[in-house]
Amino acid sequence: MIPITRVGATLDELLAQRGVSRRSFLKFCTAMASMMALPPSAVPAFAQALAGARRPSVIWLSFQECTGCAESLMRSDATTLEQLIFNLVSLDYLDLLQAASGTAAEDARARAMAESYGKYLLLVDGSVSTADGGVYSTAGGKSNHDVLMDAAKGAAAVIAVGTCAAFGGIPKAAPNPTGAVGVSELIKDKPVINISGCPPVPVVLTGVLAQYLAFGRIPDLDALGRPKAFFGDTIHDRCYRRPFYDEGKFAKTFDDEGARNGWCLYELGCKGPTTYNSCATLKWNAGTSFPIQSGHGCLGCSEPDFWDAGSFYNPIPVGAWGSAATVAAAGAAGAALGAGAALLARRHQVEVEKKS
Amino acid sequence: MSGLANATRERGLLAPRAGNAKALLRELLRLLDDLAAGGTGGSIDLMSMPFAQADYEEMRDVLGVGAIDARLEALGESRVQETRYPGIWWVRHCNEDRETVAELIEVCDVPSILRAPAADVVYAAAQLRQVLEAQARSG
Amino acid sequence: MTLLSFARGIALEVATMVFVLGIAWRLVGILLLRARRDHSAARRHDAWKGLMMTATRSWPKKEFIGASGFVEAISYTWHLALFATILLYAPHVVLLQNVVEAFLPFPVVGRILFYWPTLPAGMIFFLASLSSGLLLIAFAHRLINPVKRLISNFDDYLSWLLTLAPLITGMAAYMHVGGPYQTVLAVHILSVEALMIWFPFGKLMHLFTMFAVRGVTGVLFVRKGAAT
Repeated sequence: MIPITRVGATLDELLAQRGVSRRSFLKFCTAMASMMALPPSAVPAFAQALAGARRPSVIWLSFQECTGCAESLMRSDATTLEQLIFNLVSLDYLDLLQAASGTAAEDARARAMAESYGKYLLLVDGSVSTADGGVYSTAGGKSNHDVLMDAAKGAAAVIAVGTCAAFGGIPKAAPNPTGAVGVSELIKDKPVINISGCPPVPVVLTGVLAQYLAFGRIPDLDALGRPKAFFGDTIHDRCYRRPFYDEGKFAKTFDDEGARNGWCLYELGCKGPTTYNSCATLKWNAGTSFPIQSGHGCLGCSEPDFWDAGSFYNPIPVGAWGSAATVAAAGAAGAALGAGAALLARRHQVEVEKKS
Repeated sequence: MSGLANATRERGLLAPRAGNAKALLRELLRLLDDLAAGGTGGSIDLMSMPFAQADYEEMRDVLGVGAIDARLEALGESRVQETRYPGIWWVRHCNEDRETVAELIEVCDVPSILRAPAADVVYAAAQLRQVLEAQARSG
Repeated sequence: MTLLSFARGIALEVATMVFVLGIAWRLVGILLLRARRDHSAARRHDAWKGLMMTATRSWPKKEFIGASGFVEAISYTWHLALFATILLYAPHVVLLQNVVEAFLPFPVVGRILFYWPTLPAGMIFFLASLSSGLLLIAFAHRLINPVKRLISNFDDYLSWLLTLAPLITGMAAYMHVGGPYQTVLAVHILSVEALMIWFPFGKLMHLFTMFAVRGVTGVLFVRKGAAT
């Protein structure tokens, strides 16, 4: 499971200890660089930097979440390449996997925070309830909000894992009874990296951690605080069905001829053009497939408020129309105005004719 | 994963062709020319390409398999095959669940993953020295 | 609420209401006007020939081609390219289908009425850039030619700007330049809504009135016995 190794050892030392050969490490770095969209020529430098990195402490807090994000990331405890990075960080607190619970667990967390004060990475999944003092989501008598603000004080950086932690996600969907918000709305004095997605692509998190370990800094972030290396392109721009979009070949219904031929799913509601994520290149289950490849349009799950953005099956150009009644009323009003204007004009015409 | 992959292949992904294969093959030719002229060659990361299955298979068909087929056990299997064209290598890294984690086409005289790392060589020399000394002692 | 959901939601609804209200106002206002009764006898009785003037008077006569042929050609080209861009681009067709579906009781009508083949996106981009380029040339002509400049007014300039803006923003959205895609798309939709709001109140109404006017003029000419 998660081994206890002293914080502060370099990755190199840890690998040697675990019997991981340098070839394996180079293979890992090649895979990581590929996921992070670094060019293959950058692998030697990346490997060298990562080898000399020191093992940070990581604290993981779970709030209003479905646990899908954690499951997505931790579904396997074999030392696969993607999981290597997790086995190399000192995961000092994660209530999902740790053996301790109750006050023992809370004590462990407090101890870890004290030991690495100012240096630990705080990973958060799930949104934070703020309505009515945050009573709608509590653990151990403390509201999520208070736990978050307390833990953030000593964090070097905060990583919001999943759309719920990044932007509020499904708890924030209308009518948002718990006053759910994303982490970045509450934490303003520490760097917050948003790794959105419902759930996020697992290797994005490992890639961000690898980048943090190797280069010691936060990756470049876009306007929504997401790492540009993974969220810089839309699904549309990297979709293998893009040639069909450009040729105008669309599937009109599910399982029609176009759908069977793998044509573009734009008319079936695919939100690929307005969604930034790496699903089209990194895919899911280690490159097996992603929604579009499986015949279903993108839901846009890495964007804020995607639950409230209208039907998943309405294509992007479709408006969020109110009702036909308002437009019909406008038409009637216009006709009335026109009739009125015509009436005035006719009277004027009659006057002019009489005069002449 | 293989079952799912086969299923998706059968589902009609054979038909669409994004046309990326030809562009990539030209790029490989450019890198090979560079290597032939004494340059460093380069690598192309296949995982970041929007490949349709047909493009992938076209690449495989054109490049073929050459004289060398190396298997590497390092946190899962890796396969390094020289293609029909010496200098163009197809490298595929898998994890312990046999899932592909990286796939590259390298244009070089030998991929760096096959080279023995310098630190490992030093360590190996020390180990072998120990073994020989132990043998000598025991007779 | 993001800019995109605003553009697709309430802004679209308001723009449509103003558009419909304005068009109804102006068309009803024109149609209910009294026509001056012609008490003389008709000289010719083939009134349908007069209606044909809608087509026959859509291109200058031989004698006038030298003076106005060039500008007419540019004008026709950018108009046709614009209509092709609007009507032959798949996402636009999807929108039109949806508009009809939203407002008619039988949604399938939208699919039937607005179901025609579309052009590949690259060709649409070419047509949009052609239309934009020619619009700019036409604008330059309007500014350079002293007569045109004298008679140009606010209506002319605003109509030109609001016609060009959706073309430029649409191309920017397609190319994914100018900012995050959602923002550029929202600006494109808002520019179309601005055009919709201005449409009924300026010279753009010629879309509805032009053909009818030519036909009516033709019928009157025929009654008077003029050659068509």
